[in-house]
Amino acid sequence: MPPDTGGKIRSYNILRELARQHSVTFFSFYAAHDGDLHPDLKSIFDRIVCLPLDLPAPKSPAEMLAYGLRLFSSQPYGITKYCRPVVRRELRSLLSRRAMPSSSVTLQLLRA
Amino acid sequence: MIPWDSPIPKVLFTHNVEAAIWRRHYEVATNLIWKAISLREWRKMESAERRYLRLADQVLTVSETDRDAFAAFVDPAKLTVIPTGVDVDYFHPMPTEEAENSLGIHGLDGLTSQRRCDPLLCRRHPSTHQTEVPRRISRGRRPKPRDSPPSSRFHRHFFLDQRHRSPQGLAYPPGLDGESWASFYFDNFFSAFNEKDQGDLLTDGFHDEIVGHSAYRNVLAYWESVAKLVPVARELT
Repeated sequence: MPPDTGGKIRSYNILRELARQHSVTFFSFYAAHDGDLHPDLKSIFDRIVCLPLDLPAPKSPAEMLAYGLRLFSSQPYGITKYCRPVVRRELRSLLSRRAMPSSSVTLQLLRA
Repeated sequence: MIPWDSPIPKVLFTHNVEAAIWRRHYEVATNLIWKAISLREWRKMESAERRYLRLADQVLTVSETDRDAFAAFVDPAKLTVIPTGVDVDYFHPMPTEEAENSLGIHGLDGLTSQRRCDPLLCRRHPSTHQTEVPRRISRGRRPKPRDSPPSSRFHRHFFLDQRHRSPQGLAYPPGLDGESWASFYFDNFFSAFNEKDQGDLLTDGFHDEIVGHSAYRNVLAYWESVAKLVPVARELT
């Protein structure tokens, strides 16, 4: 949020339309930023779980260091930078706590 | 991170063929370090994409092109195309007929990673739906002379028609990709024609005011500003 790029606009509108007829739990992880609008999604979805992550700024020395630390990972950096224990923990906790009814929809997004 | 062994059905929503993007970065990179990084990310992403798409119960793609790319290694039965919707109240046919060989401003969002292009002035051919754009447009505020192409070196490329309801459809909206938007300067438009002096004249007072923002709400106002420049550009050419 805000939906200001093609992928975000598309995802936002598809999820919003799905939520009209289904129970949708919105789970998202993304680079923390000022004026985070994700809490506004409460009005659209049944439940939201938002995890702002402390990611290094793009192309900054901190990101170069983060890239270097993951250099020998078999996973691409675009995925590993989001692979934080807190995300894994929260997702598994959500799935274990909540018996997903058949009408629920879970979307797994590779790109936040 | 994703519990793939969970019995909950998993839908993987793809927005791109990510590996193809990295392959394009690799193909056009001139900096050796960036080329090496791009090669490595391309290979890793290709492997990851194949793995996760195979693990997913259903895969959504945004186009037939992406579906065909994934069908090479994923069961086509679980690939579903959902084309991106268009707000037809906002995007609609122009009220007037387009002029042949007129100049337009085109967002080269789809080409950014392939050809180091930014949105720029280009010549378009409405009858054939082809648009000619100069080659090798550099990014940044002060493009190097070697990156400013002779106006005779045009390259043809097909674009989806994204006409905005600006006067006679001469201004085209770019994609809303944050990366290319941020590096979008008017200097680049006009240096593309090797008309640096005219470029300075035309961009005076504009570039610092209206570039660099990616918020959706600014797009309409932004392109209205761009549209005002187009008649001037037509006179110069």
